[in-house]
Amino acid sequence: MANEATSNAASDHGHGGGHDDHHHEPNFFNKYIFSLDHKMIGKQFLLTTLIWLFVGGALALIVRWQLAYPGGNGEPAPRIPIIGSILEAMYGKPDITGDVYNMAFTMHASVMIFLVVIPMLVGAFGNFCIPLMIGARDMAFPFLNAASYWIMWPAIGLLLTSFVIDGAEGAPAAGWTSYPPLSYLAGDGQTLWCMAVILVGASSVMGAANYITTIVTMRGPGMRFFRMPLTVWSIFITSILSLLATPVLTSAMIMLLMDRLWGSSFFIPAGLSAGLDASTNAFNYASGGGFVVLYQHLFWFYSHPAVYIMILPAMGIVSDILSTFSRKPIFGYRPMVYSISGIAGLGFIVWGHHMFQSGMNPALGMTFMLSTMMIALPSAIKTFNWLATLWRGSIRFTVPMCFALAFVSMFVIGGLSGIFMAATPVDMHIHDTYFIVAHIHYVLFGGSLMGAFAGIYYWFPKMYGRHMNYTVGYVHFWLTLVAFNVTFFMMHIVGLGGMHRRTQDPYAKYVYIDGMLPMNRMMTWGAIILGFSQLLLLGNVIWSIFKGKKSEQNPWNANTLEWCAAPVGPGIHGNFGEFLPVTYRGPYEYSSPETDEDWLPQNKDLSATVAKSS
Amino acid sequence: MNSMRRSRIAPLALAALVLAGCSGDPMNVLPESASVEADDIDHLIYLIIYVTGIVFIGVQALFIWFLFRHRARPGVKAKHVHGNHTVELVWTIAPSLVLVILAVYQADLWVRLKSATPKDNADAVRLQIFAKQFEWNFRYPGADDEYGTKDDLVSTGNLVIPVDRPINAELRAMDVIHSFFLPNFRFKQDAVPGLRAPLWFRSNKLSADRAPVADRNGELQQLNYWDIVCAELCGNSHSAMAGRLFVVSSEDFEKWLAGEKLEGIPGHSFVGPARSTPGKIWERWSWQDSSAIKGPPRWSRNPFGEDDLGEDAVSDEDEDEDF
Ligand code: HEM
Ligand SMILES: [Cu+2]
Ligand SMILES: [Cu+2]
Repeated sequence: MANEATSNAASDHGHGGGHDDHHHEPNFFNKYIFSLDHKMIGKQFLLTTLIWLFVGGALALIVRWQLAYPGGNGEPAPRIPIIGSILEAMYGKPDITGDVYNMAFTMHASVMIFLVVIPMLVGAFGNFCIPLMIGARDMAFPFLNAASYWIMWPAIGLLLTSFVIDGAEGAPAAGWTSYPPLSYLAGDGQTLWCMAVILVGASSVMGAANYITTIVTMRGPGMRFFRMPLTVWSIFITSILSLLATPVLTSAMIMLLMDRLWGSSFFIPAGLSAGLDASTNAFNYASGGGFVVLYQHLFWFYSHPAVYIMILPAMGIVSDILSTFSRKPIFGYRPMVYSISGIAGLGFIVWGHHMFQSGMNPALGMTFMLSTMMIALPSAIKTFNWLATLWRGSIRFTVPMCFALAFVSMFVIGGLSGIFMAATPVDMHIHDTYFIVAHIHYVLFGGSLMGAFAGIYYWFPKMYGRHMNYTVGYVHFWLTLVAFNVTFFMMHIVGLGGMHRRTQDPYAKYVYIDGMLPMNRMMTWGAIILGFSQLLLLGNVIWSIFKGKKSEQNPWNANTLEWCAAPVGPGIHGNFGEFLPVTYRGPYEYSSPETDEDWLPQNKDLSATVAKSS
Repeated sequence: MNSMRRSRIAPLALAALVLAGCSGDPMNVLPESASVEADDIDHLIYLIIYVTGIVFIGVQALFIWFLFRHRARPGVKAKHVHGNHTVELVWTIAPSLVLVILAVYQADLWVRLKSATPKDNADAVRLQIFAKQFEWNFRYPGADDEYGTKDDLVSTGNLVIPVDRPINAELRAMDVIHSFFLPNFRFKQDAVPGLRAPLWFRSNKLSADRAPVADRNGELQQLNYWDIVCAELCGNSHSAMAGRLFVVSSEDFEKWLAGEKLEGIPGHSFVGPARSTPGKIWERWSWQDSSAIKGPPRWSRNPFGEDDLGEDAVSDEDEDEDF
């Protein structure tokens, strides 16, 4: 308690004011809702994204259900349980028509990418961890920070409205990539979708500016750049990526909006037949002058770096967790930092690998092929360093560790499948097939989400001062790992077999895909189990917030400042007591010969104890 | 004795692996191949399967071994080590070599697949492919070898081509992006509004000789066409945008062009631009037939050298821009 008082006084120096809640206890409203405390904002991000995880999951189950039970052979498609009623309420009938199906996978990916993975990894963990881990009292711009969370809500509102604004035909249904002219011709939901993406992008940019400033200017005493934990490093570099790449996406969205609303024709070529005009029964000729593929360049110029925005923070989190639970320094700390930077740099010159078959000049494809091959290299280096970190460690299989290990193992599969697609002739066959879907999910679910789950179990005691239930945690882990692989591994096989993606009923027209129906059924059941398993996580989080076992100050015997320097439990505004912690060494001094314990906190002054004992 | 056996088995196994890579689809996951280029791509797919397979097995085996071997045990402290320069160098250089070799190895094939015209295409068949929601339309120039004249042949949904002869097509889209995907040829090219994408492919197998395909009940179906798939999301009936590719003998192809009815193969739907049965669509095609555009399209700066189709294939302006 005494701690709290002094720290509130001290926080005057930490962040130049702008709010006056350090003179008295903040009221409920300021503490839980419009909080400017980075820890609370991080938790707000976390809970919001966890809830959206289920919306995204339900949308994915629409897709999977349709692929498993499409009807055909004269039989009608069986009604999808539960979700069927929601569809009925929204669109008047429970059927998964072509429009509903396209809406489902479009919104699935949009929700997962823009409302789950990016805000969870960057928003939640970035916010929560950075100031605590670098020994700062808060973010550089607390107000901007709160704004970066609250601007998500108009985006969420727009996306929710877009589902129903024009019935099933009006919802966004042009894929998360939303290529024009399809997105140009689409219903009003698409307009809302573009606006939502602009807002989410604004949130990313606000967060990125804040993180970069905080890390550059507010590291605590002794916290040199090369003493920062890899979580902080990875979010730092991620922020540079978002800051540089997101504006390009925003421009593309604005141009698309202008094309849709005011006929600007940035992307629309002359002579496009925009369907028959009902009144004149003639084709609507677009005035033209634009180029369709330009949109793809702009979109992927953002979205390839974005896939690294979605994985780098998870890589950082996983590195920290692997080191902690192997009781061993991370192998190759500096090579790890350099390879993160390498990924970020190369990430800007590989976007064309999404466009090998797009009508881009194939000569250009060759250069993108080479850079894409090379971007697999830093990922390989990181993997080898993780392996070497495990080597001769003393591995504790805690729940966060299990998820971190799953990350490594699954990421290997996703990275290796990338090499198939980087080989341009092979990509000609597997582009736009389920092979790509397999790749995406091995890196984004097997990678990013596993890493995020690891982070949730790991930092939960810090966030709420309580442990999660680890028995439920292990069940969650095994169900997730097994069901994930059942769901996604076979997608490689059907993809190579030529089953293309984004198809509502491919069985009806293609006999060779009809033969893959049994495999698709199995994937669907994997997906259903995978989806329901995540309820264990949500339930565990909510239950543990109120009822979890109380946590000690440093439950994992970790070295980093958030465990060693900040007071027990959910923490206080201003993070540290009267004095900021002083950092004496890097974050990974586990099993060091300098001490008898197998951990050595970053802020422990060894010279002082030596002096005392001698 | 033992070691001798081992030393003999290792190269044999390796040779088997390589041979398997050269011959078709040992894992039986790919659609039946219908062209030489498909075989070449399959070869590359298998090469990458083996390379990544070795890495995959190596990494996962080490991983599981470490988890088992180095699990926490009482009294055993972890080794305090921060890294090692030599191993970092090794595992940086080794994979980059593999990656660069892969990149260089497959570059040649890419050039061959995407050149506007194949090298030996004296007897190439010219045609245009128009993609629209949700059907494929094919137009042959007819005897005068020019589009937009009375002897044009048009076919909707069905493409008929001769075996062993290269097809030089130009691919266009009328409304949104589509993608011309031939799973049995491992061939794909997006159809983009506003772009005349050049493409070529060549079949070495009659579609009537296609191996039976199993349906969802495991029953084998004998089909006499290869599938044409639209692989790019193009709207609510995207998954129904299928076409059929009939590969027939050269003689049969000439008969088909002449309007003779062939067993099991649909005829072309109509001749000439005047009879515009699908009405509006045909109007749109004529409209796209700008008289300024003659000859087959090519990538704006043909990166892969000369076209072999002949002088008249290249308009004069194009010639000037060519490097
Ligand atoms: C090891 C390095 C990687 C390589 C060589 C690689 C390569 C590729 C290539 C060539 C494509 C385009 C395939 C196509 O559409 O034909 C692709 C798609 C994709 N990759 Fe990767 N990738 C790698 C790692 C990652 C990572 C780490 C992530 C995300 C965390 C990721 C996420 C994606 C996504 C989301 C797509 C598909 C986007 C879409 O079309 O909807 N990739 N990758
Ligand atoms: Cu990419
Ligand atoms: Cu299509």
